[in-house]
Amino acid sequence: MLHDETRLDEILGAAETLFRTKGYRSTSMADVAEACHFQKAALYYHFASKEALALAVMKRVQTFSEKIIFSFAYDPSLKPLDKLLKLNEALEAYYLSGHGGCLFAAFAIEQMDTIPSFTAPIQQYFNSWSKAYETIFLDVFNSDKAHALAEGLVSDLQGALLMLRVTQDPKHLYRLFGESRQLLLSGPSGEN
Amino acid sequence: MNMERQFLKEVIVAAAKIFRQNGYYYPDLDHITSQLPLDLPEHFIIKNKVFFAIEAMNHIQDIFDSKILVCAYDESKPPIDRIIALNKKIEGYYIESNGGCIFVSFCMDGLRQNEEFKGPIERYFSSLNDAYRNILNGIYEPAQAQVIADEFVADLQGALIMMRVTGESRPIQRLSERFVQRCKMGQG
Repeated sequence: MLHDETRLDEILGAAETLFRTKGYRSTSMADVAEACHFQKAALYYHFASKEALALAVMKRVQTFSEKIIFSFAYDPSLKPLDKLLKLNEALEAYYLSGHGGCLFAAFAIEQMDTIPSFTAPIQQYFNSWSKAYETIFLDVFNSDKAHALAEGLVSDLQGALLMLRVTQDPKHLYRLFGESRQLLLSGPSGEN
Repeated sequence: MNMERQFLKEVIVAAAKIFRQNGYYYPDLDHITSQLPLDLPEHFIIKNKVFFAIEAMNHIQDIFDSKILVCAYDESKPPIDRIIALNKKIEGYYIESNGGCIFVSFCMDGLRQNEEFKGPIERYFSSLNDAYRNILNGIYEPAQAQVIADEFVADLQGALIMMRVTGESRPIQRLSERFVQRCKMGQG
């Protein structure tokens, strides 16, 4: 059982890196099997198809993001600014780790129209991300403003991650982290 | 234009549409030629997919240069009007035409394996950047105009991704409003 769980984790980790780096279409089951150093048939024992594997990877990234990244927004022991800084630091660590861009953005661009089962997890991820920022901004702004700012920030961050892919330069990511900090500090309700 | 060139142009237009809808990897040459309104002439030589991908990018770049980015260079209009017009054209292109941004799509699934894609992709982003910078030069100092244009083009890519995720045009409209507001403040 433990062996199976370890192997499953190894498969999902390798698949996540490949999907984030190469995208969905150009990643084959053979690529994932090769990255895990076992036969393709063994991969099919765990996942009936590449679609099933991709759905499992999205679930894994969603769980990871909620526990390790977005959770800072809901930590009652932190001040709003610390919540924001820690969330942004966790995002930076995840996206600048050299394992490729945003999995969900890549899947949205490639497969949103062709694989209906991808739509819900993609939207769930962006909603969770936006909700995390919204929760932080709610400490400073009214609910409509906090919602709009959070959605705008997540949208801008996707652009920054895409440009990181094109130029290999994280400047837009750092700009947006700085702007979000300024936004919170200059918000209408004062101290943070 | 002779028949062969006309036919090649039709193949490229069909390829651009298919690549925008499906990305680079999924469609093969048969898929592309099967979408053509005409039968393939016997003597017509289909070159490789990379060729069609690059030509498809060139075709879309031509559309942007001739029909969309031209708004930025219409000096008869004030900068804010040009920004609004340009944003509307870009929004309209992505809403009305079927499919996402071919350049963004190829960044995701083709660039890593095809070094040849880098030139057209960079050219697209530069052309957007140049267009916005040209308008912003009427509001800001050149160095600042360059920075703001660069930032807006990055943010625009995010809005286009989120348009695809949400199926709504709100992300680009919100970005456009924010940008216009910033530029109005820059005008003083």
